[in-house]
Amino acid sequence: MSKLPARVDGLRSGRTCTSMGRGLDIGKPDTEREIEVLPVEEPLPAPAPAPVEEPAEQPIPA
Amino acid sequence: MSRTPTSIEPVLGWRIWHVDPTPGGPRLRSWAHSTEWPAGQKVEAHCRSILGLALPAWSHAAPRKGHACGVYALRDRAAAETMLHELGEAGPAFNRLPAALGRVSLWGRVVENVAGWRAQFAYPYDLVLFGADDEIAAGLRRDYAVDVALA
Repeated sequence: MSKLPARVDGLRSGRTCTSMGRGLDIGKPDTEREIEVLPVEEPLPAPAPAPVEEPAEQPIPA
Repeated sequence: MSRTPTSIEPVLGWRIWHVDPTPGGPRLRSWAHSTEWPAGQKVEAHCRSILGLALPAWSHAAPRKGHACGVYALRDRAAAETMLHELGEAGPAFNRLPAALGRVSLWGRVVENVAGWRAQFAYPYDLVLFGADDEIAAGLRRDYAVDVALA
């Protein structure tokens, strides 16, 4: 992988979860609320269709 | 009794990514952790806490209220653009990777806050590329099956 600028590469800055306190700033903990998002279908691309195989030619009996 | 609000519509937030032009095709990488976003598969958040890794009893499913884990997304495009410009200018030009700005679908357990969300699952929704070319755009379009435009 290409080198990333040191200041924006979290692997080198060693960020971790709860104790890091340095995640993207989206607000203070006291304004958080938890929601459950349960889509009927996950928003993922449909798998590519399997290639259609041509049926092998059957030998025609003489 | 308090119940967690439920939605069946994925949340759409804004993110930025590095675009890593690997030989197998371009791949999106998280800006903060350099985690690869696999093409065609959802990203699932995990707690990276050292304590959680060392002590299974301390680990938890991500995201969790009051913690910092989860897949992040911002509520406003303008905030993501500002972040892109600030972080993009932080590093030297010679080793910069192309960058992507775009919307991301979030679902599963989601922690909402005033400026954005932290989510359990995520997948890109659409992308605008900076510092990339047509070949990279076509590769991302093909592999991630999302709309991709060049800035």
